[in-house]
Parts: sequence; structure tokens; C-alpha cells
Amino acid sequence: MIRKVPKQKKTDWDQFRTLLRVSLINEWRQQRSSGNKKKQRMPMFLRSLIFYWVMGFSLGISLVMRAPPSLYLLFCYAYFMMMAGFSVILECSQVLMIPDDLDILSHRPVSSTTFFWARISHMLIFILIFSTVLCIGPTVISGFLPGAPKLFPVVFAVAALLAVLFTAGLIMMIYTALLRWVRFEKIKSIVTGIQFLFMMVLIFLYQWIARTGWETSGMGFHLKDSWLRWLPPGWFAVMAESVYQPESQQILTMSLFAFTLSILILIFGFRHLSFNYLYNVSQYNTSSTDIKRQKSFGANRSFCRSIFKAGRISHSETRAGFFLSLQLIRRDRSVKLTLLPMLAMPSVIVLWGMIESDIYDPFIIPLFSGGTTSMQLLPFFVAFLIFMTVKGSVYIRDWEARWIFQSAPVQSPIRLWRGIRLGLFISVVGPFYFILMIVFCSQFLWTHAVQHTIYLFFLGLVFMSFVSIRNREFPFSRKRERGERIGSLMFLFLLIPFQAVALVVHFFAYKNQFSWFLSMSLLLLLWAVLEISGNRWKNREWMPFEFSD
Amino acid sequence: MIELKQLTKIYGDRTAVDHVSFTVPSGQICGYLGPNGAGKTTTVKMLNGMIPFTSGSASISGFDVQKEPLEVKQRIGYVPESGALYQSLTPLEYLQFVGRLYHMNESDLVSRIHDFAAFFKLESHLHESMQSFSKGMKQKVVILSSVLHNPEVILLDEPLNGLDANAALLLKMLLRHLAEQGKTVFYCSHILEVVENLCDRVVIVSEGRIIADGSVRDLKSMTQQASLEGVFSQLTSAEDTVELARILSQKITSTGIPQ
Repeated sequence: MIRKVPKQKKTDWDQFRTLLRVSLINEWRQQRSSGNKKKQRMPMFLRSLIFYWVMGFSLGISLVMRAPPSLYLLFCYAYFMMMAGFSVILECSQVLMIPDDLDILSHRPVSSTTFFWARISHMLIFILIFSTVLCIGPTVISGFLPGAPKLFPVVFAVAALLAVLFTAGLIMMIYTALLRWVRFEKIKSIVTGIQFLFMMVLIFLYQWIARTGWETSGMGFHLKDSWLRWLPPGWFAVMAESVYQPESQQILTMSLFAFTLSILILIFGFRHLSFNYLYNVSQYNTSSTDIKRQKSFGANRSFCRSIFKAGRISHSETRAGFFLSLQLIRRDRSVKLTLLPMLAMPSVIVLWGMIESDIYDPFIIPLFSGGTTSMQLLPFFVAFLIFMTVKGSVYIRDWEARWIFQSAPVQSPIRLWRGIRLGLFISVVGPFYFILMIVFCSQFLWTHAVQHTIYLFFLGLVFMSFVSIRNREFPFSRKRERGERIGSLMFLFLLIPFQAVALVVHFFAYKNQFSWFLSMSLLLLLWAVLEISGNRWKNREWMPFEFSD
Repeated sequence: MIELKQLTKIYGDRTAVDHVSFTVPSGQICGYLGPNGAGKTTTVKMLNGMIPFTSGSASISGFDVQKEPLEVKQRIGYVPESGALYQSLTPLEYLQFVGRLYHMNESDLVSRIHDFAAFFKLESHLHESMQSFSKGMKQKVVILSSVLHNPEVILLDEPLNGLDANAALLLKMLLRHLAEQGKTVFYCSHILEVVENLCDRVVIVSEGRIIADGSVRDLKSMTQQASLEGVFSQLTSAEDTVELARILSQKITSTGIPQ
């Protein structure tokens, strides 16, 4: 039995080295084996690294051409910190709360602090690798900033890595603190909300810094003159800027002080939390002793039954998929943690749209009347949400339960997926559309608001059918590998053509009411064609997978 | 009926199942024994269409496993060794989900689930999340899911994992009755006492090959052993296990507890 330990229990550094070495070997082998399955697929880890490299490089190029050097530094560090936060939230938070070696190690004579530091160090190494790749592009580009000293990229890189470690450490500490101070039963039910909130806060803060930075910047912009230097990305930007521009050195002391203080808080916080980490994490992972009676999602539920009657989708495989997805999204923590945080990014875009009043009546104001607006970005983020939802619905912690799909006589995986998609629409994507419609109604004429929601809904249907064509796995049947969530973000580049098509459709649809109805009919037609042709093609594709192990 | 002809599975340069051939007629309980890594689970997974063969053929109830997998799957019930299921569902929801995959009528399905659950004393737990279930309770749900659709052939891979004595006895008796009613039962296990008492026939495999096939009585007389345990040890182990255990125990006790 794991007990709360007295505080003087020390870290055993021999055990720490052994644990860290084994977990890194294990990680490496898992990553290596993930690439060997099915047609020598590229390991997810490598895919994620490519994504990070491309994103970092694109950011560097786009900023160096437009922003003054100080703003370049601020935006880069803000971006690095946001991405480091994403990595912890998407990839590591579950590992911290549900360590896969808990069962193997918790009954061995390993102290809580040793176990904790081995975990934290493993994750920091992982994040450091990602971040180094992310920083490469902007670091190289920073050498070309006007008037940059020769060794400036080195300073830039050091400050960038400090920024990344600081953010990762901070978020990890919040998670561990939650484990320590929030009641176990409570945290189990709120953990998805926490993920969603963290994602929203990170994206919102980044957007805020980016927008405020552009608004306050002139060509002579210096961080030493701006209040932005007091924000965490500002600390690191000032550190680099003080090398670049000697007049900034007077504020360097304050930045260093803030940074050092935060690091000390992190170290003491971690130290304090490490004492009972093993106890807390084992409590979190122990099944509840309170046996809850679950509200049935069975066939008797009139709402679901009416959906089937209305949609004439009464095939038992579709029904199996539909109820399975509804039940798992509602109950399974690993599914919720995969799907629901994806709502954060589109939600922030809507929120900024409301704050900056750039959600407008598409029948009245032309789409390309000003700069980039939330109205223009919405189709992209609807597509993002649908893409990540469909992609995410193959993962689950109980992935071994997939044997049932392989041993049961599933005649058409397409029918099964149709049910799953319906469930996803109702429980993840649908509520977002509903919120969108309410926001639109608050901003312009309600009939136009409903029409615009319908337009986005039809776009979503088309995109969901399009994305599903590539989906050749059974739902809720895969274990998530490290780096996979970030790696799947690489497919975001595929959304750019979709965004272009959506903007063209928008341009024609909102000329008048007739063109709107015509465009919607065409979208529906396109959806039907994609569904029928995709299904035929996919049913043929599925047959070999009937036997996949 | 189950029929295997020269069934072979090769992983890279390792042959997991090597030209295995036998027939299990309807109404028979066939035990499938072998040491760890002998190819038992691989054989079962090939039989229910989960993994492809390298060569050979297999049929269940007259349907070819590779050519008519859906016909085969409709006719088999499978209890996997892992016993994995979606734990965040309730037993009722999970069994409904499985029943739908087997295209069972919705109203019959619910009444059948309630009926069956009562036999395994699960009726009061049908609406509880399986996360709080013991291993044995989850195993009961997996067993129920394998017989829900009235299969002609039942494939079981270590089905007694985690079951209490009463549930284990119930399952053994159930299999006996189902065999009497013409069902074919293919039973993989390491528990030799159960196989000895339950099975009409025993097939022993080692390193992917069949090394013995017959009734328990035939095997005992063939090897001149008093128990199936003796038969198994003689056929599959080259070393003297009694002597091995003695030496290992000496090695374990020869060092003190590390401080």
C-alpha cells in the first residue's frame, strides 16, 4: 500500500538515474516500433518534430519581414511558450497524472520524490527536444535581424530554451498541485475542463500579446518602453534584447529578478509536491470505491430513438457506433481529454471576434472588406475542430478492447463510422455550432445568423465526409503514442486549400438570397457525392484490414 | 465444427504455428494446451479471423475463415485472453453494443442480457460503470458477450482468469451443456486440471506443432502417466522440473535481504 511519506524522505539518485534511463529507453523503443507498422509509416515523434520545425521556421520568416526586432523577440518567445504549454497539455499531462509505470513501480522500494523527479525529468527532456526543433528556424533567422551581433542567435536560443522550460515547469506544477490539493473524485470529473481552460488561456494570451504588440508597435518599438516587458515572454525578450540593444540593460535586472523568483518558486513547489506524488497519483488512478449508477444511454432514450427514426439510420452497426461514441465521450476520461480540448482554439477565435467586433452580417459587409477577421477564419477553425475530432476518435485508453471489432461480424465499417460521426456531431461539434448561432444572433439579424450557421454546418458536413475517406481504422481502437497529437497538427496545412474553397463559396453565397440557396444546395450535393463515392471506395479499402492485427 | 488443414503462421523468421491440422466435430469440447509461446493464442486468433494465415486453410461450420470471414464471425463466440472491454461503459451498454455488432434484435437483446446476467449474479450491477469492477466481474461480462448471440462455435482463451470458484464451476457446467446441445467448444488453457475434467479431447502443441492429440485417457496410457500434468510435463519439458525448482530455491535463499 502506498502511504503519505514524511517530508525528510530523500531522492535516491542511483534509482533516479536507473528510472530515467529505463523510461527513456522505453520511450525510444516505442517510438521506433511505431514507425514499423503498416507500410513503414514515419514515427509519430519524427512527424511531430517536422511539424515543429516547419511552424517555427514559418513564424520566423513571416515575422522578420514585418516586425521590428524587439517585437520579433517578443512574439517568438510568446509563441515558444504557447507551444511548450500545448506539448505539456496535449502530450504530457496525462502521463504525469496516469503514469504507465505506476503499477510496475509503486510496490517497489522507490521513494515518491525519486519517482517524481524521474517523471518530471523525462518529460522535460521530451519537451526540450521538441522545443529545440521549434526554435531552430527563428534562432537562425534572428542572426539576420538588422544590427544583430555575431553571436546573437546563441543568446536567442538560450533565452528560448529557458522560456520553454519555464512554461513546461509551470504547467506541470499546476497539474501536480491539482493532484495534491483537489479531492481525487473531484479532479477526475474536472480534469477535462482544466485541459480546455488551459488551452483557452494559452491561446487567448498568445493572441492578446500578438494583437497588443502589433497595435502598440512602431518601427522604433523597444520592449524597454512597453509594459509588455512585464509579461513572461517579455522577460525572455528583454534578456535577449539587452545583448542586442545596450540601452535595455537597465531593465534587465528586473526581468532577471522576476525570472529567478519564478524559478525558485517552481523548484520549491516541485520539491514540496514531490513528497506525496506517488500517493496522490495512485489515489487518482485507483478506481472509485463509490459505485455510481450510470444514466442509461440505451435504446430507450427517446431523443436518440427519434434521431434514428428521423434519419432512417436504423442499421444495428450504425446504432452500435452511435451509442458507443456518445457513451465514451460522456464517460471515458481519455476520450474526453482527446476530443474536448480541441474546442478551445475555435472558441478563442469566436471570443476574439466578439471582443473586436469583427463578426458581422455576411449579407451586408463583404468578406474581404478589411484585414483578417474572425469571420474569415471561422471556416478554417470549424474544419480544424472536425478534423481533430474525427482523427481523435480512434484513440482510447482501453484500446485493447478493439478485439471486439475484429472478432464481430462487422459487415460495413462505414456504417459503424457513420454512427460514430453522428455521435461526434451531437456531442462535440453540435454544441459549438449552437454557440456560434447564439453569438451570430447577438451580432446581427437572426435569420442571417441562422443562415450563416447553416452555411458553416454544411461546410462541416462536406469536410467531415472528406476527412473520413482517409480514416481506415476502427473507432476507439488505438493507443496514443507520444508526439501523436502534436504530429497530427501537421495536417493543418491540408486545411489551407479547404479554407480557400470556403472563402470562394462564401464570396458567391452571400451575394443575395438566391445565390445562398444555390450554394447550399451545391454543398449538400457535394456532401452526398463524397459520402456515396467515399463509402464505396472505403468499403473496398477496408477488406484487407479485416485481418489486421 | 472446426477444421484446420496445414494451418501455418510465420512472423518474420519465426514460425508461430507450423502446419497444424485437426478437426473438432460438433458437440465436442477440445482442449488446446501448450507451453508459453507455443502458438495457442495465434491459432485462436487465426480461427476467428483476427489475423491472416501464412498458409493452409481453416473452416468453421463449413465456412472458410479467409474467404467468408463475416459468415464465420457470425457463428463464433470468442473469449480473449486479455478480457479487455470498454470499462467506462456499464455491462448493459457494453453487451448492447456487442449485440448490435452481431445484428441482434434490439428488444430481444435487452431481455436476453437481463436473463443471462442473472446467472452470473450481474443483474444488480448492469447499470454500474465497469471501472469499479473486479477482474472476475469483467470476465463474466466478456463471457456473456461471447454467448449472447447463440454461437455455433465457442473459442475460449484462458476463460477462467479471475473468476471465483462458483462462477468457474458455472462456466464449466455451461460449456458441458452447450456441447451436449451440439455446440463446438475450443478451449485454450494452462490449467491442466480443468482441461482434464472438462475436455473430451486434448490437443497439445509445442513450438507451433501438434505433439499429441487424443482423449485424456489415451494420452495417459500412451505416456504411462497418472495425470494430465505428468503427460504435459513429459511431452513439453526436456528438463526435470522438480530438480530445477530445488536448485532455484537454493539460489534465492543464498543471499540476504539488501539493505
